[in-house]
Amino acid sequence: MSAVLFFHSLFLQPFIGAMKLSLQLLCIIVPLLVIFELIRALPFWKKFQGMDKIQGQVGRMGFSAHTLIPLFTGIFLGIAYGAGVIIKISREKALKAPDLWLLGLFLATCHAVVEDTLIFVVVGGMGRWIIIPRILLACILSLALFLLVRAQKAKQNLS
Amino acid sequence: MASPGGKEFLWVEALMTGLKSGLMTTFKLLRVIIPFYFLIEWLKLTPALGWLGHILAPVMKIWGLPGEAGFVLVTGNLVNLYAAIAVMIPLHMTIPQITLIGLMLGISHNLIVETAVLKEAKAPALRLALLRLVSSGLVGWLVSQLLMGN
Repeated sequence: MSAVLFFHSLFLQPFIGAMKLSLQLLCIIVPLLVIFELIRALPFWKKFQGMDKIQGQVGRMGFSAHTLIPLFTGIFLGIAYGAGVIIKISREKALKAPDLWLLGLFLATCHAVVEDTLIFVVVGGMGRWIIIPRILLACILSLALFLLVRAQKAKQNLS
Repeated sequence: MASPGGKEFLWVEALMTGLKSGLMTTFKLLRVIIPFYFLIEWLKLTPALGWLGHILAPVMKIWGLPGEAGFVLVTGNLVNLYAAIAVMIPLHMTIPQITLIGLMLGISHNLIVETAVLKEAKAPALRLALLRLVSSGLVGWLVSQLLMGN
């Protein structure tokens, strides 16, 4: 009897728990990956091909049209997924220090917000408290750095 | 309707790619979740978890979290979020605690791998890692005040 109990608490219970958790997470991750690939295949992205610079804040931050999909990957799924692409951007584009700071800061603080939030929601977390503060933080930090770089440039132009 | 071999919207290919990366993620997930889940369940049978939790308790109190939550945060920052969740589930946290851990680990996680990636991209990786840790602590503290009112 105690041997059965021993086996149960030592192996069976953790195994069932681990499997249940894995299944829960996979129910989120697999559909997410499929949706991600479907969005990526949309004809919408073709519009940006051949464009050298894109308009707006995204363009001003040094993100060209070629980096739009990697940027989307980074925000959606994370640095580990986008690693190859992020390294490629910085090599091909030879980004200057302020741009690199901004790209790094933005991706370091605000990536995989979709996946990360969902996997904590599955195990009981409150999604809005996880995602909203993260996006706010990334925006505030990026804006602060943007203003800092601009102020420094202005100072250099004066002297 | 897409013509055969048309380039408009290759949804079948996209579906297959998605499923394939889903399968790859499954292996990655199991490889991390099984060992960490077993480790914590086994440690729960010994007094070691309680002692360590006791040591971490005064620090974790800043965020209104139990000492054991320290293991989750350390695992998430050194390994990845899947490992952190595998550690968190056997410890039976409350909903506000899970939310707060999710937020803090969302800001700062997987630091070893991601710092290597950013370094390779020639971004100031170490300073960024430090910034993430600090802002994780600050934002976590702020939200813990709102969420738990402690």
